Amino acid sequence: MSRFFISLIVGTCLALGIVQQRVWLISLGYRVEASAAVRDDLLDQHRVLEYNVLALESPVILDGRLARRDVQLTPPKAVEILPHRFGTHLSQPAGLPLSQPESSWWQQAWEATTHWFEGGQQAVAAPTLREDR
Amino acid sequence: MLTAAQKTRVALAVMGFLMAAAALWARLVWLQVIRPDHWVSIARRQHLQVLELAPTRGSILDRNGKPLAVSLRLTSVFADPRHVKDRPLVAARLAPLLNRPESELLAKLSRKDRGFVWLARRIPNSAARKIRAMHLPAVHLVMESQRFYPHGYLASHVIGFSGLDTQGLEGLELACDRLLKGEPGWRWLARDARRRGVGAWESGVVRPRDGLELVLTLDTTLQYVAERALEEAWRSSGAKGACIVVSDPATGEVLALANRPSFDPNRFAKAQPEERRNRAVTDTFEPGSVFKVVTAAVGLGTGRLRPEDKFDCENGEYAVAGRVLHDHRPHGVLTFREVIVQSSNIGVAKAAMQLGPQPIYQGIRAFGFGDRTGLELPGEVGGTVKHPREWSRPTITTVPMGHEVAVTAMQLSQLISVVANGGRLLRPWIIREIREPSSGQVVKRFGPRPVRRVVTRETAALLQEFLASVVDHGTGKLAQVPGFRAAGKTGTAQKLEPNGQYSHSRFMASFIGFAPVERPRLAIVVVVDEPRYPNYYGGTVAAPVFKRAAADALAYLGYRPMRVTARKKED
Repeated sequence: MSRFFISLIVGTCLALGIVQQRVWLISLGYRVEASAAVRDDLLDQHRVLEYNVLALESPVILDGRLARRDVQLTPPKAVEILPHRFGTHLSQPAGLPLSQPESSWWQQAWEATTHWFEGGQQAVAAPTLREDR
Repeated sequence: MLTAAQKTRVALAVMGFLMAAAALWARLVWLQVIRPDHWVSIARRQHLQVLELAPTRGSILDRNGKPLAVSLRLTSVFADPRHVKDRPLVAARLAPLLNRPESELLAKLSRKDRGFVWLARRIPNSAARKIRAMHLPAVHLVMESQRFYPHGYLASHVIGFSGLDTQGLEGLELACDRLLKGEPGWRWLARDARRRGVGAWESGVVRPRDGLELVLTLDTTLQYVAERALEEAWRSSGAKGACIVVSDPATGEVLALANRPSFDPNRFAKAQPEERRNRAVTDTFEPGSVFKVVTAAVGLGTGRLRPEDKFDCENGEYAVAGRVLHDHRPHGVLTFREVIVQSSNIGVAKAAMQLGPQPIYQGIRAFGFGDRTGLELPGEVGGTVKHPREWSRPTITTVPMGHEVAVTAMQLSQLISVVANGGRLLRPWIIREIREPSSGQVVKRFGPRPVRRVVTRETAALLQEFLASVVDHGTGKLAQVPGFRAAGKTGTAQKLEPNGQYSHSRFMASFIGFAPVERPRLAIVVVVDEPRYPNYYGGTVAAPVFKRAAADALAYLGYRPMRVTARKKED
């Protein structure tokens, strides 16, 4: 008789375990669905924002806005254009990586001297180390 | 002790119980063992659903990877009118969010015979969030894809547009619809009694295959430069229409293609058919004097004409083959080079008569006229070129000056590219790559497609010099590009009236040219349809468009001005 009751208890526990597992799976399923919906929503928002940036960068829109504000842009004259990374080469001693973030006192002194020699022109086209891409 | 009667009753009760149990067991075995599929399928139908996973339509990018057409998912709202309880209240709450009249929504919600009605499609995400938060019973939200064109009207005739169901309807969207649309996937989704999805129970999933990406040969900036120049001329000349084609003569790549009037593909439903027409490939017209380039190429190429050969241009009026030919300005004796530079109709007619119909016809065909160019855009036509056996007596004098033939702007682009690239006919192309959207892996890459050699390099060099002279001191002076040497040919063709006579008020002004002459990088065709009198000449309407487009495009491409123009020298 006791064996019967033990079997009954074990069987009931097993059945409850299985049911519990199923309930847990269902609740997990709801959470998965909810998370997937949130993820999709965020991805959609991201795409919409990217699209808005794209549209704002469009020459059609930029030109329209400049025209409305009566901003006249003229391309630089040949003498005003310096070679790409012109200032970087001048201001940077050989061997230093382009992405070095901090400049030491002698680098700053070198830049100041170059700037003085260039009569301020360097600032037109020469990117700083941080801006260099 | 039980009596006999009681024992009988107990036995009967036990038997009845056993029989009921047996019947239940039999039914259980019947349902679970012998015929379970039927009930399983009914249960599956109730809480399992096949959910179609829509693919994302492939983007269209310019040559630098800037998107020209992208797909975004927006929310659409639908309802099951049978289960909407307080219809006036639901309509009143939704109306301001959906931007629809309350009466319209109420009418939709009152259709009790239907289980599904669209209330609004593709609404803004902010409105969708508010509706979701309302938890309105029997009002549901679903995501739908929509096509967006971030640059608006820019290159709209090339890209085309796709409809509400993201099916390509015009332009490349139509021509490459199969590549762009992808293939839908599906998955089984278990749903509970409230129709909520239970994700963890899903079994089979076939992921959708997103549409492929198209990378075009177009450059957004060049396209903008070309469109801006064309727009200005179209508006100032009051023309009926206009188009411009900018291509790389060395490869045949189309760098920009624009038409006026134009349309915004984001609002394609509001565009008129006239605005949606891609004139550069679908419209044929008599090209006029730009076609003299063909006669010059045939004459010089066959060696039967030399630049120094002299032609009497009869002081501007010449009766031949039952017709009287006129020049726009009287000329005396001109060399063949001057005939082209001054665009003398009489001189070209005499040169063509010297060559004969057959070589002229063969030359026209060799340049690709009469055949489609093979550009990937839909609706392209091949134009009309009559065989010499169909020519009438005066045809030998009219065809060389661009009458009695019908061509497209794209064919003229091929013509000027042949001259610019040293004599090779290249098929124009606009799709550069087809790519996988997720990995960026190139599925197919396209390149220059040479068709044939039309003229020798030497003949092409001579033609280049002729056309450079046209711009330096001929009819195309207004096409001079500051700092560069440009070459080209003007054309002003009378249009045919419905009665078959040539009009004296309706013209087709055109200019075909390339720059820089030393190493051609851009071949540009400008056609202006019916510019308003008196400013209707190709040299005054179309040539300035070439000048502005070429100047801006060369600056963008990094060319440095090298040369003082002829006009400045004269000054």
